[in-house]
Amino acid sequence: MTHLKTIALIAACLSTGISVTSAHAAFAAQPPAVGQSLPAFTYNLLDGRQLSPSELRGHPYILWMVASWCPSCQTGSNVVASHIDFLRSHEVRIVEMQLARDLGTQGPGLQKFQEAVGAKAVSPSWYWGELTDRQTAALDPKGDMDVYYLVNARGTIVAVNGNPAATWDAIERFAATAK
Amino acid sequence: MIRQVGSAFALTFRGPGAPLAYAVTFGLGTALTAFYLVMLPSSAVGGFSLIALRYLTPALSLSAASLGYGFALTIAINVGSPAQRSRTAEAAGIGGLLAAILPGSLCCTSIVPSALAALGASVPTVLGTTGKIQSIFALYESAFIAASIAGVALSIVLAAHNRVSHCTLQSP
Repeated sequence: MTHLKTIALIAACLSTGISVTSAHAAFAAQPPAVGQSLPAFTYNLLDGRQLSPSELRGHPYILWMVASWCPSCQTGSNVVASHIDFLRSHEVRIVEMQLARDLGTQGPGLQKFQEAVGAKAVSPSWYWGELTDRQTAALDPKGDMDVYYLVNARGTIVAVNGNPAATWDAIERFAATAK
Repeated sequence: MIRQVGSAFALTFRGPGAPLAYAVTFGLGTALTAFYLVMLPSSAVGGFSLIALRYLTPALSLSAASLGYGFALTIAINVGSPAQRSRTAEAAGIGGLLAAILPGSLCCTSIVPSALAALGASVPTVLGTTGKIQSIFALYESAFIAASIAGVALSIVLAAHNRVSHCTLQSP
């Protein structure tokens, strides 16, 4: 009986500790939510240019965060490429950003994604870049990859989702009604 | 070794327990194969989803069938064996099945970062560590699948050895 009480006490302490640390982590690191605006960051692009908030203002866009070693991100880029003309026709811009330092493991870089996508990668509505540590911590503090924000023309986040290869229908609906 | 496996198949599928062996092989094998047909390409879409079927390749299909029917054969041989079931064979097979799940479930999902956060890791730690763990499953996905198939193949060999050894000991 004493053993049972000891085990129960340890289990209670562990579960309390885990829930406290989870709650703390969740409290300390909340990404932007639906209905809010994204921080007004200037993004570093792969071609050396910078994408300022003013260039995105007034346009619906998808801010998509990827790691270059991530297979679903590569697949997602291929899916986006196959629909890039549709997105452009609805004036939706794609901002595909590699998470800072590829989340700890340097992959081949987004240039590999661009090579796989081919000529569509240079579409004027598709921006490719890399987030800084600060931007990554603010936009994706939980370290999830292949997640994206759908932002309408007023700059409001209308959805947060992941894996465009699996959720293309949601992007298509957004694009059709974004303007 | 091949002869031993062949003998075990003959004993399993021609003996008195043949109907059960066929039922286990095709029932369990088909169910597991169907699961792995979705699971193996799921890293391409970031999680278990029927959409993953769009990214199914001939190699992945063959791997799924090898895992599903291979493990079912192990169980069929074990179930029909008059000897005690080979727990080692089943453990090797289950290990193989589990290893095949790892790339699709851990490489591109939120499981690893969520686990790190639940353990109390800070944001910089999560952002600097999660990729180190997840990229292993992404970069070595083929190796994981190959090891899984090897595990299931080993389980068949062990089950066959168990079955044939028992019959050899029983014969006059």
